[in-house]
Amino acid sequence: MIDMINIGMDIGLLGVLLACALLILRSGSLLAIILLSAAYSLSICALFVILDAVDVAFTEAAVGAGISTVLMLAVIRRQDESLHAPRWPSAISVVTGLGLGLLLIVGTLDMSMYGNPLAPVHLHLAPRFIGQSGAETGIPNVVTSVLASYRGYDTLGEVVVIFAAGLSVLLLLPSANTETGEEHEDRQRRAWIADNPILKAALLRVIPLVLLFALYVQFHGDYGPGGGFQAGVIFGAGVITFGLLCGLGKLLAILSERWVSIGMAAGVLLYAGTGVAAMWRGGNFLDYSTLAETPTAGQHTGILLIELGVGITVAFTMISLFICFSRGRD
Amino acid sequence: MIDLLGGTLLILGSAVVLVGGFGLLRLPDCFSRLHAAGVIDTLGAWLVLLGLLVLSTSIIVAFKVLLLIILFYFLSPVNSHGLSRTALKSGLRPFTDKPS
Amino acid sequence: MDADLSHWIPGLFNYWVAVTLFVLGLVIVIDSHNMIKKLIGLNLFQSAVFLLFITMGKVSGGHPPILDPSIEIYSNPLPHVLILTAIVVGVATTALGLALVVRIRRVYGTVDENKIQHNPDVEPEIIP
Repeated sequence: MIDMINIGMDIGLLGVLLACALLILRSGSLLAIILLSAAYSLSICALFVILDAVDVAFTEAAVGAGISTVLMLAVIRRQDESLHAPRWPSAISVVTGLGLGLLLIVGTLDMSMYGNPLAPVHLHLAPRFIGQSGAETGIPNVVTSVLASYRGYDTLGEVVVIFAAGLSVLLLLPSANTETGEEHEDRQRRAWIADNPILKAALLRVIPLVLLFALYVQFHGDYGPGGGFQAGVIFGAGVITFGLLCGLGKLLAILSERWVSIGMAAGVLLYAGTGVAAMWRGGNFLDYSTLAETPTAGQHTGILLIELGVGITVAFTMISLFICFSRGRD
Repeated sequence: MIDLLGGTLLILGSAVVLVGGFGLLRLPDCFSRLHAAGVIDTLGAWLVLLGLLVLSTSIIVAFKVLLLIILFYFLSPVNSHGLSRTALKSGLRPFTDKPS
Repeated sequence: MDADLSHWIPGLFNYWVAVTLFVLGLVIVIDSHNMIKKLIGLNLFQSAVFLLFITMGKVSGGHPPILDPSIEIYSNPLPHVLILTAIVVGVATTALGLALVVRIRRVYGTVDENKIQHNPDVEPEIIP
């Protein structure tokens, strides 16, 4: 019964996804396309919950529907360039698309059925992680323990990629091109969000709750869905909301660009530093077992520290991206 | 008994959401559509969340759902207000029977 | 391989939708001349891969992989770990693409590829 309901919801949500994708293909307004892709993100996030990927759904909700929509809107804010969408896709895209699609569908015929517990993908590493990670790391959330401990090297790499992307955006959109104070004041006056007292009053009271929630997600990520990536994105979203409401000037007066850059680097350093500390105490790089008296306690400490590093880097990178995109004159 | 109450609330909430969805599609202009969206955001969401509150098994889940209800109570009217005010300022006029 | 086609329809439906989304993303990337729309097409492309991975991780009757003594079947946590980090890396790289778009618009005054490539009147005006 529950399975039937799940499959029904699965098919319905997949239909919504397809509809959003088709509308994006046909739409001629960038604003509509960006909002459709936000709707797409929300539906795929509900789908991830049905497919038991609660951590992924959490991340997608914060990233897809939140941050990336704000970034895209910040880029198009000046002019909504209408684009003449072609009525029908061009011949080359139809041929490429159909060819690739057919090949991939032939490929799926060899894959295991939806939800098959005997699929090869479930037989090797997963039972080991599900069976033993609880005893080895003392953390119930298997996603967190795999992400932070067993695959710690990978996650370090991902955090460095995020840091590098943030750094590249800083280099591409340097502060030399920012508008003067007057230009900024002028745009603030024209921005409708800024002169709406009700919106401001209500949202300014919610922002502390958002930041508190981010800290909860950060430190409760061991026991429930959550962790550094989600917490960082939520924290960044809270600060970005403040920037949208009160203007970039006020945000930069509280949190200067210098501190944002330092924060971006500090998270990566905390992560790598935890690895080096493990080496210092006689273990391998990122082998947290040596960090405390017992291996389990050590793993727990190490995972907390590196998740904090991930959270700091992600949060400050998101803030830095927002600052870069919303200040430039076009 | 509790199951029955929770289930009724969930079904009522879903019905309200469905009605709001029809309204969103059928109503003529931005402002009346915002009214339909407001119905989904307030009554529909509250009924569904109340149903979940009744059905929740642990105190921590109940507390989280309660927080969500409080947040919805304050934020969805603000949300509708912000949208309609922006629509008005960007030049949309409410749809009326009288020719303007 | 099972020859009975009716058996495949519920079993492989998610994969087929992922393939369709993949193809739609590709068509958007090829067909649209606006670079921001192209980036959104790439995002679509990317999320189709996410959907494929997460579908592979699902186990029938499974629960989210958060250990609890009362639960016996869990879905596979490994795809979740991969996709979770990929989503955040995805937004960072999308932001990098958007930054490039902003720079292109500063130089050429447009984000339309056709206008940039085929219009000799548009003189690149270099702003440091």
